[in-house]
Amino acid sequence: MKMKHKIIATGVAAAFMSTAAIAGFKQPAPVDVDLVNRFAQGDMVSAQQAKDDVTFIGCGIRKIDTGAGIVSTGFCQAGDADEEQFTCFTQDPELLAATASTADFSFITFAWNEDGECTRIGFSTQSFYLTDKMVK
Amino acid sequence: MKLLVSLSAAQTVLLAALGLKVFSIDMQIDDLSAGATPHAAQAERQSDPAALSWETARAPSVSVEDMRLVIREELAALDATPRNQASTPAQPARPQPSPEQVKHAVSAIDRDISLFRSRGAINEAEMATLQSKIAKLPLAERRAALSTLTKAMSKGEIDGWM
Repeated sequence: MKMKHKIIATGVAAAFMSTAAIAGFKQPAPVDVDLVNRFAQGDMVSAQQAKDDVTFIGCGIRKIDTGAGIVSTGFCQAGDADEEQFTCFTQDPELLAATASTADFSFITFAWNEDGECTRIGFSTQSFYLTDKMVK
Repeated sequence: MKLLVSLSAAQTVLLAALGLKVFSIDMQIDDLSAGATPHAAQAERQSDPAALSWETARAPSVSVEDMRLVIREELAALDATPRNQASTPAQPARPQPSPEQVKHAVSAIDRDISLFRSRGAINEAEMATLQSKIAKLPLAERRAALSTLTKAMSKGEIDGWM
């Protein structure tokens, strides 16, 4: 009987230890689209796990061979739980380069001007945007 | 007997002359190999530019400027070769659409966007086609078309994604 208790106690301790191993600072960033101040931000994990079917965020690039050269267009788009959404575009080489630096599960922030052109594109890929499920 | 003595004396003189000549040549070789100082090399370069590459190749203390000069000469020689000229054909000029063609393309894209706006949606294939059309526009018109499209999407007038 004592042996059985020891085994159970060891199992419980091991379970707590594994939980402690994946603990750490977490800072989910739900998607927010601010149409007044013309910016949007949020992390992709929070967007994907939102409790609605309207939240999203992401950036991408399209490269098109027109026959007279390659035309690159970058874009960022987001929609939040309040059903506010925005899509900005860019053809600026620096912002296109920034768009290419995205990674899975990144935090994304972007801003735009009155013409809908992106004026800021930023990514941040850090541990605190990951969920427990993703690292188990 | 006198003849033998004379011949022997002549042989000795000739051997001595030969020995002196060999010694003299040895001295000159030593001077050339050990006496090639930077100053001497510099003097040779100034007096004989053709000897420059030889000097820089064998001298143990080659200056950076010498190396740059040699590299420049080699690159200039490469550029001057007909093979190199033939391997870089002139880039064909990119065809530029006429103002009429641009105007026509802009009108067609505006009609497409109006159609998607009235329908309220654009699917992925239609978006790809539309973006291909927009990409062919000159920069200013392209920006205007993208602005119109993204604003309509952002307002919810066209449901779709880039």
